[in-house]
Amino acid sequence: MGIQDIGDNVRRHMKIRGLTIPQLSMKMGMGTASLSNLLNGKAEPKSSTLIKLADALAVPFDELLADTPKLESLRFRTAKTLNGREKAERDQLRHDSAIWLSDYSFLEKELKASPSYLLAHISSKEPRTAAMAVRDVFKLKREAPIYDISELMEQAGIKLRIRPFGFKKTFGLSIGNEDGGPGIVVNSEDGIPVERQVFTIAHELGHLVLHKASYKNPDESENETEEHEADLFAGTLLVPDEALEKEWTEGKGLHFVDRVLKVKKIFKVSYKTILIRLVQMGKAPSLTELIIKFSQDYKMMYHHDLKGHYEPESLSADESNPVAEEDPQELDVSDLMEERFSRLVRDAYEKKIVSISRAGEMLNLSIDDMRTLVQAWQEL
Amino acid sequence: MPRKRREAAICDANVLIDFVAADEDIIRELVKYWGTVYVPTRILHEVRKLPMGRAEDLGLTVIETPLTLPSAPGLSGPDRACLHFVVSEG
Repeated sequence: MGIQDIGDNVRRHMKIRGLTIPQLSMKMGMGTASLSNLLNGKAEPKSSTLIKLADALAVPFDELLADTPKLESLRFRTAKTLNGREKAERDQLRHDSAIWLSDYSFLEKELKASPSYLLAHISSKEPRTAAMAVRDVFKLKREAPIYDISELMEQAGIKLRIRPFGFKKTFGLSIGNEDGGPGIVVNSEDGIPVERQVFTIAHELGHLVLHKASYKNPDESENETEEHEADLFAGTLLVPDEALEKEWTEGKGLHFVDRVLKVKKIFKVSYKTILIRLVQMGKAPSLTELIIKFSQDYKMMYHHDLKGHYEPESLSADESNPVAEEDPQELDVSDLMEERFSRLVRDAYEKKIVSISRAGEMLNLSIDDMRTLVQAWQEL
Repeated sequence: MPRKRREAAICDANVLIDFVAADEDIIRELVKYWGTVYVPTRILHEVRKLPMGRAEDLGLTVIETPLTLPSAPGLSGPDRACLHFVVSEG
C-alpha cells in the first residue's frame, strides 16, 4: 500500500459517485486543501480521516487502502465508448476482480481444493466443434438444455462471479490462467435479464476455449471475428443444432413469435439467442430483419415493445405466474448463482483458516451481516 | 485505600457489538472499573451502532491505527489492527 494508492482509490470512487473535491470535503467535514493533499499523495492520512472518507464514499475502509492490482490476463472488450464514470466503474471492476481472484486462490490453496481446468485440452478453433466438445466434457445429451450453467463452470474449474458492473455497455469479462483464473465475471446490472447473463457466461467461455492468445493482449477494442466466433460457440453450447432443429420443427404450427418463445423457454436462453441460432442454422438470411420482424410481431401480439433489454417471459426471480407441470421447466435467477466461493469461505471459516471478520471481507459483508450469516450456517 | 487505576483495550469488534446490543452502559461501567479502556479506530469502525462520538461519550479512549499493518491473508484489516496493537502494546 502506498499513499498514492489511497489517492487513486479515492479518486476512482469519487468519479463513480460523481463527487467533486468540494462536495466530498463537505460530506466528510474536512477542508478542501487537506483533501487535495491527500489525493495528491502529499500527506499520509490518519486512520480516523480515512474512516470518514470511507463512510462519505460508502465503501469499506480497506477498499481505500488496497494496492492498485494488476491483472495480466484480463480480457475486457467493448465496442462502445465509456464515459468518465463508466471508466471508473471499469477500473473498480478490475480492482475487485483482482482481489476476488486473489482471495479465491488463497482459499483453494489453504483448503487444498484447487480444481483442474477440465477444458484445457480442447484445441479446436471451430466454434461449433469446440462447443460440442465442451458439452461432451459435461456429458450433456445432444438435445439436453443446460439447466445450471454456473454449476457447470465451477465443475470445470472456472471461477465465476456475478455482479453489477455499474453500466450496461458490456456484459462480461474473462480472465486467463495467469492471474489465478480461468475466471468469468458477468454483469448482473439491473435490467439485464438472466437469459442474457447465461449467454454471457457461454460467450466468455467461448473466448477462454477459442481465443487463448487474446488473454495476453491488453487491447480493449472488440475484434469482430472473435466476438462472432464466441457468439456461435455460445449459441451452439446452449442450443445445439440437432436439438434446435427438433424443437423448431415440432413448433411449426405456431405463430413465429410463439414458436421462438416456446423454444427459448426450453433452452433457458433469450429470444435473441434463438433468433441468432436460426440465422446461424440458415433458417433466416438476416439477423437484423429477423429481430425487427420479431419485435414488430411481438408488440402487435403482446402489446409490449422490446426496448431496453426487455426480455419477454423473462426468467426473473419475481416470476409470479405459476408454471403448469406440463410446461417446460423454468429457470429461476437462483439458478445463476456462484456458489463455490461462498462454500470455500464457509469451509475456511469453520476450519479457522480465516476469521469471521475476514470471511465478511471476502463476501463483502459487514461484521453484523457476517455474524447473522454464521448464525444461519450454524443452524443448518 | 484508593483503587489503583488500570488500563485495558478492546480489540475485538464482536465484544463491542455484544455490549452495544445488550446495554451500552456496560461500556460505561467497564471504563469506570478499568480507568482507561482503549479501542483502535479500525475496530471501532466495524461497530456500526457505536459511532466514534458516542464511544467517546461512553468513556472509551479511541486510538489511531497505523495504515500499514502486518500482512496475513487469513485476517481482515481490523484483525491485523488488533494483532498490531497486541504486539506493540503487550
